[in-house]
Amino acid sequence: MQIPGISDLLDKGTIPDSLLLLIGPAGAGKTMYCRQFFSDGLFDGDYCIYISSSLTSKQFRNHFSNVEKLNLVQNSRFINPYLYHRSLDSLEQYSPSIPASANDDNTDSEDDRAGGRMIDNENSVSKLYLTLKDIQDSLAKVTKYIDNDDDDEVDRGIGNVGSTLDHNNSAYSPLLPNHLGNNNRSVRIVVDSLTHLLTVFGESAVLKFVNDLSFLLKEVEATAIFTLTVPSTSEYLTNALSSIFDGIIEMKLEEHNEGLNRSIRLLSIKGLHYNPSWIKFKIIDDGSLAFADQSSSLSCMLCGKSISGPPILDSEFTFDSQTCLETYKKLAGVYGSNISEIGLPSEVVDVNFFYTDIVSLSDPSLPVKKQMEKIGILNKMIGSCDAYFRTPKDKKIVLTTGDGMAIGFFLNPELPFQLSTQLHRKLRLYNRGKSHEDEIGLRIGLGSGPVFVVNDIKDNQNVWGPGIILARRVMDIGDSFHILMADRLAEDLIALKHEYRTTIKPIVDYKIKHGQTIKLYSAYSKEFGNPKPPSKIVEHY
Amino acid sequence: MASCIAFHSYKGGTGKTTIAANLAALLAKKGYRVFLLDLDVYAPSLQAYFDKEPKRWINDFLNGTADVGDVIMDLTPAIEEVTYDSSNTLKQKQKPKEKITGKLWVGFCSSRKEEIYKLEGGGKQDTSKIQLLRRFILLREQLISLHDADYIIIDTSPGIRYWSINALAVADTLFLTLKMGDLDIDGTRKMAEEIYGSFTKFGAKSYLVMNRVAGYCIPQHISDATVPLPPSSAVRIDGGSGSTASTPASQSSNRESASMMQQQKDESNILTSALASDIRMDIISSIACYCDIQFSNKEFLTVLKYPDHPFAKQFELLAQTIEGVQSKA
Repeated sequence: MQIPGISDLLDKGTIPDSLLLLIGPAGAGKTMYCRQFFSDGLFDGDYCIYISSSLTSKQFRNHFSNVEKLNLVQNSRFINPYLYHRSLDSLEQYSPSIPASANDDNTDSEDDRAGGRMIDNENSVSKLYLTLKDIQDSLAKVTKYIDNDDDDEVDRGIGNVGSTLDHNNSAYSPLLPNHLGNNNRSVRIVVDSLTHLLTVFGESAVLKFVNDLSFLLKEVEATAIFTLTVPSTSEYLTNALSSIFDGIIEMKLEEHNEGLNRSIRLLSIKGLHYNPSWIKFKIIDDGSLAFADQSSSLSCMLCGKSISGPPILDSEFTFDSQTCLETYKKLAGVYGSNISEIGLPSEVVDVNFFYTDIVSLSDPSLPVKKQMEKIGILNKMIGSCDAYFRTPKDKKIVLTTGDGMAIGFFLNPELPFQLSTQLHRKLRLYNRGKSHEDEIGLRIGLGSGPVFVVNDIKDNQNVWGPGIILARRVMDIGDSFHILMADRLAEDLIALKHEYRTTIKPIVDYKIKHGQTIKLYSAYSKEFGNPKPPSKIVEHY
Repeated sequence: MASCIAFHSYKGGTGKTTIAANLAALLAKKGYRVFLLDLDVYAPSLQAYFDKEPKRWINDFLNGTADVGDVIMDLTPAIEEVTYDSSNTLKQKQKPKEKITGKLWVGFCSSRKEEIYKLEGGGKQDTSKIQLLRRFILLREQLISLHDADYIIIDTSPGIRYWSINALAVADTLFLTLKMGDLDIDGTRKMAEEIYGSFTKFGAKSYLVMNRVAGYCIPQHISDATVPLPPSSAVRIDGGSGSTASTPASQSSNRESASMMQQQKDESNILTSALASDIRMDIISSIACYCDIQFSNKEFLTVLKYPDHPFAKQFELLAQTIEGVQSKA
């Protein structure tokens, strides 16, 4: 499972499905991190549940206005435990059994009355029980629970869990493995925030709820993020909560001359040994997060920084600011048309390139905001593809272009093609039900060849040479949803695996710029690519 | 909005460093937050004006081994030591010191050959030229964003070289300095046409600064001659009476000398006007040749030490012009 910024937080770039506790001071960006995690899940086709005792349904919808409405309705669920008004008569059996703290064993504790909104213990337990039941119902539906209508069975399962802390004896055991988690759909859960739940429902009820929910989520192999504002008043509470989770993500907030600096680190994750390090991030205008070292984000052609605000687009490149664009143009006027020429080529390497751009992005009728949104969505989609995020940073080169991206993969010639097919699958899902204006059409060119690396390889930028130029030329021939390949890469793949012979097909010998002729291939199947010949080919022949 | 000014020239020795240092000091005196950077990486000389040994150099920032705060020295206290109150009418040595309301930070460049070689992308380091350039762009950005700069003044290398081009590219105002009497009109014109066009096309403003213009220091033997002093250099530093020329023969010789001087000045004016017209740059300042500054044994900041000197007055005019340009931007 991928969580926002994971490629920066962890070199490995991925973590197992986990229950994660996200801690940090108020204002650090926890809610926006959850928003990103949740939105990414919906883009990826996961089923997502958002639990908050402070949001209304309307606020929830507004919070996710970045997600297509139909996708939000069909693939997500919002639950506010505080707003349950159902009959609670049958819920007596669900009683707290975990002492929350040494001095918190009754509902009249001082903490529990915080804010004057504290509800009584019985009501707390009941509402949290209903929440748990609701989550289970939702999971049962998306994971094809067989006896979905049998409320008694569901109730019995939940109820028994309420009084059973031993996982082996849990009533989830007979219920969940047989009926839940039996298909491949991934599940994401957000609980934002535990701090508010604690304020409303009290420590003992919330601890029990979290503990019970954790078993349910582990059974369906969900990834979940629970937020907690720290420092909290009770160290015991923080420790007790931490013990339930697989990992802890920590955020911090620092004052800065210009405003606030936000940082995040993966403090710990069970079973993984690594050195946690702080990564800076920004919350940009559209509410998404930009991590300081996020190679999948747009970066400035001149200064190389990750672009946190709206990028400045030139014909081919992207810039962080107008000043960078002007400085680049000044330098290009003196040194030549490409900034890479001012660096000394230090190394020549063979790279397999994926080159893509968004079709018709420069259409003047398309508002600039819409163009920006599409670029942002493309970047996120690429960043969420296995072929991309599972490839370590030092095995790939990322070049951002104005309306697309070029990614060079060292060594493995399959990765550009795998990235193309994964991206097309995600894109088809994304485009479903979209208006023509909102649809994203991509053309993809793949090619391999030598390039000069004119920069530190970790910088993921500034390569130039025949390899990338060829991929660009090939892409330029295509129309929307074409995956076109230059001969050398196509023939390498065909020779590699039999399955590629059925999907990668030669279409024509084509003369590209400067009279160079290449054998052009097109990759397509029912799930990816475009079986039609490119219009440029049709016009030409 | 911050302004970034680069001083450049086709040839060396045109007075870029003197003008850059004095302008930076004067702007600080006027209340601005000024950052003076030595980017004459091949022959740095800014240290001579401040007599300070920095712990870290601009080179360290460019190589990524130091932060911006490490490589800029706050020299405001140091320049206050040599700042005299120009409004006071006492003799120079009796004048009280004046508090500077602005701030002056200076970033020095190392003259060690290894450091110069590194800035050319050489040595065993991993840093490529593009990374050095990016660090340089970051330096400018951080001086503005983290240190709230009003003015960044860059003393560049002469000619068309990697670091002079980079410095000119990050600047929004370019001062092309010419030293009268040692003009290379053709070289300057060619450089301006080939290089400056790329910068001005994308928003930079460029001006000519004429340095060591003749006419301020009149040789004593012709001081009694009838040749009028040029209006821009009407103040004489020695106030000399020039009593040596009294015979008809010597008077004739003096008139010849004065005529020669006038002819040279006229020719220079024609050449520079033609150049300014050819390369479409205005002359923003004409700084006269002052022997008392020119032949001093030690470099000093005239605008602070001798605020009543005509050289300092010329800088007042230059600073006012820059402020005017800045306020229009």
